[in-house]
Amino acid sequence: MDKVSLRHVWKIYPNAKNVAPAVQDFNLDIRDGEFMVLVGASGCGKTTTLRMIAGLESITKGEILIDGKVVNDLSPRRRNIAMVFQNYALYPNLTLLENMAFGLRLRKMEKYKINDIVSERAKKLEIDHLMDRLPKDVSGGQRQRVALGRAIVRDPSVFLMDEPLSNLDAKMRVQMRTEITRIHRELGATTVYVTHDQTEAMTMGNRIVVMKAGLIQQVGTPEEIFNEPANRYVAGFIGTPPMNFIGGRLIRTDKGFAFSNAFMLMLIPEEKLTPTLVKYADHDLIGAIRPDYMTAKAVNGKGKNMENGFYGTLELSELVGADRYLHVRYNQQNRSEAPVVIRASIHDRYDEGTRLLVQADMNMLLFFDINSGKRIL
Amino acid sequence: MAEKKRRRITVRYALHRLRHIKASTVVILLLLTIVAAVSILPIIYIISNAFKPLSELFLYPPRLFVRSPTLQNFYEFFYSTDVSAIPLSRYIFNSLFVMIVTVAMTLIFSSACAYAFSKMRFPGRKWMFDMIIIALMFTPEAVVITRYLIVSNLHMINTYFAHILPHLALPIGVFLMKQFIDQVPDSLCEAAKIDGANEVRILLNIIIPTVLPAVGAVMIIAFQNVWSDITTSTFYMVDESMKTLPYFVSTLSNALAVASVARKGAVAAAGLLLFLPNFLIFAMLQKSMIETMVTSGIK
Repeated sequence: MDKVSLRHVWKIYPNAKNVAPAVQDFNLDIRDGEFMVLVGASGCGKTTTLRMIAGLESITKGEILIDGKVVNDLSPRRRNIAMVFQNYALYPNLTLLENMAFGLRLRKMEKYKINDIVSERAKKLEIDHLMDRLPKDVSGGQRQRVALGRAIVRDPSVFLMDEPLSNLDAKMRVQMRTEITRIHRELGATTVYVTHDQTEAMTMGNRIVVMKAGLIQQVGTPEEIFNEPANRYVAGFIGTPPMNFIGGRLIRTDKGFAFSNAFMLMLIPEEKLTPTLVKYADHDLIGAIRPDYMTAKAVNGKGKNMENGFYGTLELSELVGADRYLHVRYNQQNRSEAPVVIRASIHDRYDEGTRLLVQADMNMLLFFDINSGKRIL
Repeated sequence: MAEKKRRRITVRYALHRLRHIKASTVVILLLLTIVAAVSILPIIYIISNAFKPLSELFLYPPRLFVRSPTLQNFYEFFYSTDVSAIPLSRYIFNSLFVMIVTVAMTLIFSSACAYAFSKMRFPGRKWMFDMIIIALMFTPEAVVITRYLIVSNLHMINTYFAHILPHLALPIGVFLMKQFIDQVPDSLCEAAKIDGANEVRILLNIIIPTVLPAVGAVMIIAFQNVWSDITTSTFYMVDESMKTLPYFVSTLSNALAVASVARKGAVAAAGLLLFLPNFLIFAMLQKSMIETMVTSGIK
């Protein structure tokens, strides 16, 4: 059964005239026990959507259902939800114990039950030794755990998390990421998680919603989002370093169809030729390939390469741990175009300015419509 | 042993700091000391006057410190009501009762009002807050006639309502509290809402404890307003039994012209007694008061 459903949900701020609605026609069904991540650049409407589910923001149009009940007119406390805020929002005047117990006390639960459940959940989060302290006396990571603890003591229908890790330092963030995933697995609670960090989205989500300017771009599993992005925006948003986009044309050659421009001619494997793609023959389109699916080697070649690759000059070589990002430029005339980035190994060390032959794994090449940005293949 | 060692370190540290003091710091400290000395003079004068025997009270030139202290003035003050029908305790009760109720209710109204202005969105919100700010500009003297008409038309003359109600609307209290509540992140209220708290509980359990400095400041202001208020007793109270202690003291000193010079001692004692609560309240809340002045940028 669907735990949370959003049906044609709109959010329009009355005072923001001439501005696109914050959320437009949002449709989504979140299954029971699912970890759903809303991801997008800031201002894309993901937090507004979350706040509408929480009841902190009114819904302009459409309806939201939790456990099959329309909750549009219910106040936050009657929706049986728990929320973790970006700035933790711990009550500064209460001890950590009281912070976690606050909601339970308001629900008139018996004292001994409160103590039991709080200490059990605190142990699970490894903060049970801090329960007498005030929020200001513990570290950021511990505060985050308490905020999480305050949510999980209540056994709500849905957990809502609004960028809960963005105030932590990088190391702590990675640690809390696995922690939240672990707790989600243990409790099996339905979770809606908002983030702008695509790594968090990819590692934590059962499914991901990519949003842009109030519109859903794609809903899918991390694999789907990564390998079959619905459009150029999703393709460019997910993945580090981002996907490479190359302008070109689909042409017929005597060896079959090929993607070509002034610098390259790449034969498309037979099995990849779908009827939709064939329709683009002799049309301009955008080829795209992830940096992971390309290799580079130093070759002193010039002109147009015919072996599914192209020649280029190494412009910048970035060392990122075990990987090395090679920024290769094939078109020296057009400096405004971004260079192609290749993920190489740390051992592929070339001097900047070296001529490289870049070859692509043609099975991994994607195509996007030049006008609509939608994926063709 | 450890204690001794620590003290030695502190002393050495203090000496070390003294040696590195700048000339400008010395000047500033000197000036501050002078200002502090000047402002403490009246307090010393009030205290020592209360204990002066008659001979010293009328001494010319007056002395700052008392030579031969006596409690005579206090006896005189406590028996000064013997001639009137109302015992002194009645004035004290009136003052305390009015003060406690007014301060408590002012806190409730100011914080609730400020919370609404700060965290809720409702039509006319800005306009209403502007009105409160404008109200800040009027001195009590400017509105004394209108106030009298209101109190009189509401038939509150000669009741405790007239003592309390006019003091409850404290624009500066609303303003101060709002400045503080604005600093409380919205997400704190939202978290409480999701936890299941209603607005009253959010205000009492979350907001008030986080803005305690402002609460202290509003308490001081409200207290001073009501404690030193003579006009209410003068204008709105008919029966002597409804009037407050400051009013009674003021009649003592006014009576100077007709009554005996002996009253001068009673007034000095009353002056000290009236000043003491002021002093105690301020001593208790001074930290929060100063915090408020610093953070809210107003005096």
